[in-house]
Amino acid sequence: MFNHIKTDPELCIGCKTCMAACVASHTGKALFAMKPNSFDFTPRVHVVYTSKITKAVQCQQCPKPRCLDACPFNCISLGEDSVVIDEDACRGCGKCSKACPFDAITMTRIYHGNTKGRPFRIVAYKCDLCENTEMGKPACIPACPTEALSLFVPKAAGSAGAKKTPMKI
Amino acid sequence: MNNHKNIDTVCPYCGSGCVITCTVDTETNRIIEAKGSPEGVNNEGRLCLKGLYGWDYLNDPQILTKRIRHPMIRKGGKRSPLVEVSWQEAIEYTAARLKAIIKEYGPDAVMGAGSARGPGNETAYITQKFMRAVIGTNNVDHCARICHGASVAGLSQSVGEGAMSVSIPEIEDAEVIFNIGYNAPVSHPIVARRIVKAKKKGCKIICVDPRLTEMGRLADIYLPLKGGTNMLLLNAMAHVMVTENLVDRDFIEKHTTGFDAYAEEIAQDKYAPEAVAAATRLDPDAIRKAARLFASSKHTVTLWGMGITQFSQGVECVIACSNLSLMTGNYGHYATGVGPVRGQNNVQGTCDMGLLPNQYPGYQPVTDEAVRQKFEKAWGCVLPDKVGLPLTRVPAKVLREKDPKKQIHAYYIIGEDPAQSDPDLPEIRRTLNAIDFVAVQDIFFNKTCEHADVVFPATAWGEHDAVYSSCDRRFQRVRKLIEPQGDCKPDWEILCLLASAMGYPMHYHNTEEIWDEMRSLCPKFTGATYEKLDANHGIQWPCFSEDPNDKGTQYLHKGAHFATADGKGRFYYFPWTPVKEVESPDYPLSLSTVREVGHYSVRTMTGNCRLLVDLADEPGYIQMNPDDCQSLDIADGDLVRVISRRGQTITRCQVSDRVSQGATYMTYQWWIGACNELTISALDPKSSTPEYKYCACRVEKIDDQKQAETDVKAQYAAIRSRMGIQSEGGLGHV
Ligand code: SF4
Ligand code: SF4
Ligand code: SF4
Repeated sequence: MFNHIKTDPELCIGCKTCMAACVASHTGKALFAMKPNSFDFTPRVHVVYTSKITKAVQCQQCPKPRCLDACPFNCISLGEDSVVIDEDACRGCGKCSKACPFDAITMTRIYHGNTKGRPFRIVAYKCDLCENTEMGKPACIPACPTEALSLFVPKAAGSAGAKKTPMKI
Repeated sequence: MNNHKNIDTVCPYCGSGCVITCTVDTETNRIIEAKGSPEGVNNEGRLCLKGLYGWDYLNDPQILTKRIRHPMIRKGGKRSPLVEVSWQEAIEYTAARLKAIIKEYGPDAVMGAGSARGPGNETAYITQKFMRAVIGTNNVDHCARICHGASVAGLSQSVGEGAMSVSIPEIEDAEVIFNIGYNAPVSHPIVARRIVKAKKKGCKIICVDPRLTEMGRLADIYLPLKGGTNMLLLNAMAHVMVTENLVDRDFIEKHTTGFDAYAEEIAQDKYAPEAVAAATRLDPDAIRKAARLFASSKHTVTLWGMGITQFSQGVECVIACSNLSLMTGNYGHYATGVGPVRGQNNVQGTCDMGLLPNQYPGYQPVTDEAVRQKFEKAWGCVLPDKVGLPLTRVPAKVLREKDPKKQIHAYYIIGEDPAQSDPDLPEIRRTLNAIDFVAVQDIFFNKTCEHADVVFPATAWGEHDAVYSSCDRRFQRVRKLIEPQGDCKPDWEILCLLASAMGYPMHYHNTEEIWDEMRSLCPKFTGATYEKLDANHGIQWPCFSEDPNDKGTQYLHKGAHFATADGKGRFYYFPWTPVKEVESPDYPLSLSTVREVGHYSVRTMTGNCRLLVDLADEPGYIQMNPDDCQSLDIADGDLVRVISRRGQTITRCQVSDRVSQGATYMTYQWWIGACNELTISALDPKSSTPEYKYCACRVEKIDDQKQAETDVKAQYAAIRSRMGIQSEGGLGHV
């Protein structure tokens, strides 16, 4: 089982700080010098509001990912530390997003970067634990004002499960 | 990276007073990053999205509007274009216009509105000094009028001090939180942090709100009352406490007056929960449970926001809230009392600094002879003894006052945008157009600038030093981070130039000089020196002595010694007064204004921050119940037309089952979907605060959605060009 992020719905206030932190971490500090509208706003976490629950939702990095099985083009694989979507290869069909039991994949239109020569392209985005960012570890966790997010480390939790390791900020 | 410097400052957004560590690149004169500072007493190293990413407007990305960099005047008179001029020309022109108006109509023809935002306390002090000593009027006010004006007035009457009695960190140790008309998760995420922490520690939460907010969702008892019936509920809760004998007799006897007469009124059968159930649409049992829970602890903290104050019965409902704390002994010790949680970063400060028509700095009345003499001596002039005009009364004084001698002829506006923030915008525009002379001092070109005869470029948060007061009375130092560009000057400097040009020389070398003058005149703040602010993570007033051991006051009314003349808390009874405009066949829905977490005030700042704009942008939305949407045949995301007796606007429908049938909600940040085109300018007679929380409207389906989308894009482009932006952009991600 991989590490993944958990949200405590009793602490989550639905403020979307995690979403902004996610984009900031993936776009990098250069963002604040870029022309507005010259980058895509693609948060890999989103906040769900139902009549009873408010909760940030991230990919749970399943050991047997349904998204992986659902992708007709084999764009999803088991990486070393997480479930990986090859975003360049993604054809935007949305099958993974429908298959995910947590609704953790967002199909987003991108207008910049690799659009394969077209004006825009639809890509599947999900939490990658900030692995390929400058920070290298989840940006949303220290950003959340109520400390609703934590990194669940299955190895540390052992077979008894249910132990969260709060990340240092 | 030796050109990188870390500077601690205070967030320019809400009143939580979060301390931010900003990393600044001194070579490129840019902020690189912002992080929560562990030194922050209220934020403990955390920030919300505005604190983390809301400094981006300093880069002037010109998304919604753009920074003003040079003084401008309308050389060809009203309606001619604004042209850039030198500081000297702009100051001389303004001084001459103001002097002419004062000569012809007297000083009370001039109105001043100060800023509760970036400029800080020193500018606030100078603003009221300018209006009082230089212009010669008490017509000075600020946006507290349209938000917590009712809390200041109501609590002063009830307990003698119109501020939060409890501090933010104490909320965490409350046993019961009575949360009414307040939605911390969107208005103050860092206060919400304390509330959810309290809950984890076992605190029980009562939430009163017509809409199932995040607070409502987290509450143990949620009371979804019908909007506009606060007083009925508060009286019913008091009724339960009195008739079930849940009150604290000992506390009432020792520390309060007026209880018996009050209790007699409250005990009437008409306030039994069963009797108010129909009007409030609440379950009587739930009301009884809430009252019992409230009275069960000596650590009950009451928190309220605009859901109490922005009604025409605001002041009386504030007093009704305070009554509950008084009768249960919930005042005067740790983790108890009341929290009218102030919205803008420095709206507590602007009240502290006397930007009010009835008070000098330090809550000293302008009508008090001895106080006035003190200020006259310090400022070397004669001061007016008559209470001035609240800013919400300006439209009446311009449009409806017939005697030219009694009209307002000049409006001096600092860091505020009434043409976006005030109720009934069509009326505000008529007002601004009718006033002879409008001067604006701001960081961004805004909607009010379109009506201004002169515009002064001010420095923004991050470009100057200051002190802000957080919502829980904490004075904290705010630091300059980067060098201002263009011709911008700090607001207080602009006012000093103008004062000097008008024949009252005013000169200060820095903000500390202003602060020290202020301290010498305000006993409650005397002990709060810059040095002590630095040494103690800020100082909470009152702080009377400069002695380093006087570290200020964490909670007010210690030992239940209230700040009233006789040291006692006072009970007052008020019957319920209904809202001013109810639903009708033509306007079948109710409309209340609310907040968007990632945006702030009139959105000039957050509307120009890349990440915040991408999370939520024009034309905003109206929250509606699914059944209402179905009967109107509109779907989530559709553009709809919203119409009231005042005007109309276009926005997006947001279907939400957290909203009850017949009620709608709009956030006031949007320029296209501007809800203040619809709101009513009915005022609380006691505090002059508008009834933003209730008016009647109707929603209309737009058949041609494609055309409507095109129109909205065109409107955005038009706004941007009116604000002076030449480049392409806006609504990119919508
Ligand atoms: S930042 Fe935290 S509280 Fe805010 S939505 Fe995300 S998880 Fe929830
Ligand atoms: S996207 Fe969904 S299915 Fe795929 S690994 Fe993540 S949580 Fe599991
Ligand atoms: S909670 Fe308020 S003060 Fe704190 S970061 Fe957010 S806006 Fe700024």
